[in-house]
Amino acid sequence: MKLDSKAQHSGEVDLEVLDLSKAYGTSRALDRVDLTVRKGELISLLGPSGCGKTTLLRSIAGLVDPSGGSIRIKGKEILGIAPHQRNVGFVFQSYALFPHMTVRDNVAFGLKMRSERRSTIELSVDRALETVKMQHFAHRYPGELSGGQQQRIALARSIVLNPTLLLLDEPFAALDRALRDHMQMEVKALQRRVGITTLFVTHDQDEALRISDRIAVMNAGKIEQIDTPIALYKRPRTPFVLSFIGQSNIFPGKVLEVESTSAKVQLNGHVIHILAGPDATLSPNGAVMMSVRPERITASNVAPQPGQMGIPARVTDAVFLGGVLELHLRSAISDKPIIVSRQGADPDGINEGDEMWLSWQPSDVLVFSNPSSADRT
Amino acid sequence: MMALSRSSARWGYGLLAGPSIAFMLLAFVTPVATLAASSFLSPDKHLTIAHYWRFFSEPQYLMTLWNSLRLAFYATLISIVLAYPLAYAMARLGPGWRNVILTVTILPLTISVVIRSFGWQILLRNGGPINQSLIALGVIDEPLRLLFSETGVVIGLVHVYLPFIVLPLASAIERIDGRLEEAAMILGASAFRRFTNVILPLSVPGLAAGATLVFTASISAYVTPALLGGEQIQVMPTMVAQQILTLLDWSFGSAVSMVLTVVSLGVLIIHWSVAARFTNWSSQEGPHK
Repeated sequence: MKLDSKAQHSGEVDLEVLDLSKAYGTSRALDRVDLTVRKGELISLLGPSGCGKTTLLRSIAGLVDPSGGSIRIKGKEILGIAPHQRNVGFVFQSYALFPHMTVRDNVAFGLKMRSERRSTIELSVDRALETVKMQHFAHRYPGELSGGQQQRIALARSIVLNPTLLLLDEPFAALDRALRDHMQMEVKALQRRVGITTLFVTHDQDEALRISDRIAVMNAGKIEQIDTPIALYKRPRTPFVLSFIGQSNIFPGKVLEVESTSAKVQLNGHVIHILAGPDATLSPNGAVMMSVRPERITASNVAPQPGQMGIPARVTDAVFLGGVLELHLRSAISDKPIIVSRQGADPDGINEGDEMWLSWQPSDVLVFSNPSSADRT
Repeated sequence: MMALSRSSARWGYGLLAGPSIAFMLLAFVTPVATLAASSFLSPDKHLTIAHYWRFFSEPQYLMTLWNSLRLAFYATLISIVLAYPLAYAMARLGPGWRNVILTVTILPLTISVVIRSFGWQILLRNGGPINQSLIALGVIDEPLRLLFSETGVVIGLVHVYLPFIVLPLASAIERIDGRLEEAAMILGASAFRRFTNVILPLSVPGLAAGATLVFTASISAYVTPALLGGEQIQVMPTMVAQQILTLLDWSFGSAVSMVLTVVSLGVLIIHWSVAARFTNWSSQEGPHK
């Protein structure tokens, strides 16, 4: 169940990134990025490797000097300020724990650098270790801990300084599958409990969907879309976002007729209806790219009645994935196999070569009027 | 590593290494055993500790041992101070810097120590370029005594043995994850504290290895003290040579070399125990690195 997290953050803005750019030679790692993060939010920066997500995170931490733009924390410009004066916590993918120091000394490091009183340090370290449930490991060395335990210490080392902003760089990438799922939920729960504004980088869409309040999908140094996980899935604004969040089937078509709220499109001899939203720029005879999610397509072995939608296709494979059955079909409307997923179905009675007819609701079609940009998918 | 765990393969590799191991052992054990034997023999071929007694009861000889220890200590200390910036730059500043530093550090090794020492004689003498420059700059009024002094010997030793510490130190620093320094920076550590809290403790294995090499090489160096120290600075190796080659006192010369050998082995043992203490945390790697 998805909790309504909006109630937990006020309108207060903790982080503002404005027009931020970073060039390495001729390549642009960040290209005029804007991002606003409200207090208490957990936002993930999602994208393929090289999209600029880590550069953005490191710019905020002060480990990278941007070429232009502005970064504000609680309204205060932080570019040009030393990393430790920005009041951010940073958790590295490899955790970067000091191997020659005990867990306690690792967590106390930042407080010692601030020359806090010994008693204050002891108290804060105890509290931070308790928050991550590692109080019994205070005298161990990082090398004696498991990956998940090391990660908790890395979190404790950051949150002990009460940062305004917690930055996590691919924090789960080094963990195995089962531990990763567990740590994702644990970090999310910790983030809720402490209420700390968090920005985290990932290339894993499932991870982003699982724990984020909002996801910023990045590509080629730009944020393509920033939205809640549900909005990104249901209303991707670009073909890149469509392909990066969830599976999708893509069909190229030609616009026949445009009406006020809908349009008729030709799809390899079949005439189908789509909804034309206010921002879709469709013109008769123009090319259009349509996408339908696998769970939104109905595959029936009964031929359609006249006037009903039914695009013929042949089954090439039926893949059983536990709770979901995935049918792969070939049809003249697409070069690639069409994927149809059925909740809780079993593969018995479905054979390779079976003829089926595909249909969907006009409202389930995602429309992109500029098919050329779909080449990136 | 399946192949290596098979015992026949292990014997194969062992056999290949065998001749080299035998050569190294023979070349180490034979002279040490010969010297040890001769150091305990009196002129009429009886067992005696008289030579050692002579060495340890004569202040002049003890002063020689002290000279050796002191000069090797200074050379090591100065090498450490010079090596850290070089090693850090080599490990962190990319291949360009790496090659420049490697070349500058290694180049002297390609020239004979004898030739280099004569070079230093020219540079260090009273009317040499160093003294002339310092006088011209008004730093000093009269030439400093650099040649045939401790200063000259230490300068020469540092020049000869610096690569022995720069290379192990650079490889130790290279193995330190750069993100540890970034983490320390974000947590508020200044450049100085990043060095003392992160780089220094984590590079101790390389530091200990390099410092041991420089110290043991310096304390047993002959050419540099002989050419840059002259008559004034007597050290253990020059004393051994004098006893054996000039005075033809084989037994006493052997006893002096045994003292030197024991000092060097002692330093090696200290190195092993320090290295073991500072690396015990790194031997316990977690399942996820």
